[in-house]
Amino acid sequence: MNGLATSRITSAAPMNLVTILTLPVAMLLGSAISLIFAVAPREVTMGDAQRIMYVHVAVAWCGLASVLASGVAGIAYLKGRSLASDGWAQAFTEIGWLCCVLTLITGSIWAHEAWNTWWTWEPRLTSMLILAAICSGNLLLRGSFEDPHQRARIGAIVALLAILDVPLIVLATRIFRGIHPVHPSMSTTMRAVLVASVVGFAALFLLITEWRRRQIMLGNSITDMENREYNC
Amino acid sequence: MSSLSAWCGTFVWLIHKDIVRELRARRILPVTLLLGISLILLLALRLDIALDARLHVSGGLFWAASFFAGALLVERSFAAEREEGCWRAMRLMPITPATIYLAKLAFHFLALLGLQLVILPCFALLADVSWMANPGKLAAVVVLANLGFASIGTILGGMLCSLRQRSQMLMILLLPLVVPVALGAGAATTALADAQPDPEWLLGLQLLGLFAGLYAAAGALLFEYAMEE
Repeated sequence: MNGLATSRITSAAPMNLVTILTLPVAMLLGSAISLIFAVAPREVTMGDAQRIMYVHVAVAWCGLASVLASGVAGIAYLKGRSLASDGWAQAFTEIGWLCCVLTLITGSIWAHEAWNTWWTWEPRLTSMLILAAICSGNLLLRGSFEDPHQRARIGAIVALLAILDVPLIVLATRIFRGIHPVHPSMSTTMRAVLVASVVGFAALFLLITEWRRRQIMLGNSITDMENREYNC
Repeated sequence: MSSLSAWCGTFVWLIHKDIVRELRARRILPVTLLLGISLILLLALRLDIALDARLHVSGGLFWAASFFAGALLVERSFAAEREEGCWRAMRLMPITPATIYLAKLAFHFLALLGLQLVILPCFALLADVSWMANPGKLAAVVVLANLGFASIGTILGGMLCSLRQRSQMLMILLLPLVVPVALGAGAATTALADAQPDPEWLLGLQLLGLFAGLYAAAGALLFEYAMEE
């Protein structure tokens, strides 16, 4: 009963946090999007299509950070066996998957304008696709387990294996001499808008992660209650 | 010294157990060989193209066929452990999970090598390609590619062996995770078609070495958690 009460308290508190933070995050993201369209200069070669880069880079960085965070939460679960850690791990895995897919979509649109093709087997694109596939596999696998601790354990192992792909993505263009831009030259205004975009999208994905974590913890509490009733 | 020899004894005994079981029951290699040869035939059929193009794709195709058959090998190897109650018995024995992992890895490595001893000449013959200009370099690629595949296959196989849909899940997880190994092996093997391989060969080998090492280390550290039920 104690554990149930604790999970109720911990799941109720972040509800306020999510509600409180929704408006500031919406304003932050709205400002970032406004900066992308109103302040960022029009790029000479690609024109307005280049503005997708501000979204693409932001979601790509958020995706990699989410995958790393899910691995860290996975380690925390394997060491402490707390479902609260697994809540974070699962939420970060889901957000990581979402960001990977968004990165591939926005990258594909950018590639169509820059390279005149929707897809090419470029090392960084390929390694990002691999990460998206690993995250999809992790989520599918998690759905196959009824027992939350078994699900958490397996999810943590796969999340840790997924981390091994992150350095490959970061270093792919340097190692394999791909065509993906590594350090594109940007004006100070463009850099400032890019930073604002990364901050805005990071805040959005952190908020969604917290909201999703809370939902997972509530789901665990309900399963816990059902099991207790069944055992009685 | 005695603890090291005891560890070596346990390690060899675990591999011996797998080999003896396979020689008696023949549950893994015949079906894996059949799948490997079928895949090779299927792929070689479509390789009636210009020599340059054939040399360019044949390395990747060989490793794709090899790893598909290898996935079946890993799945059947752990299914046999599970069905005969051997897995539970091993968990009860005073053997560290890392030892079990390394022994299973070694068995999968040897089984893959056995599989490739048959399908590699078949593929070279049917696709009319030769990588034998540099036998030492080819051996290095084969060893590292098999080590990388066996490392990741063993941890996933051990983790999923209690799951009902283990074969589907193994494929879903193993194939994306093995892509870096397949990419490195494909690039290195393709470069070996020339008597003087270009720098691509070394790059492929480095990628293979990196992922084989990373997967083996991750497997040895995580197998303890993968074995739990």
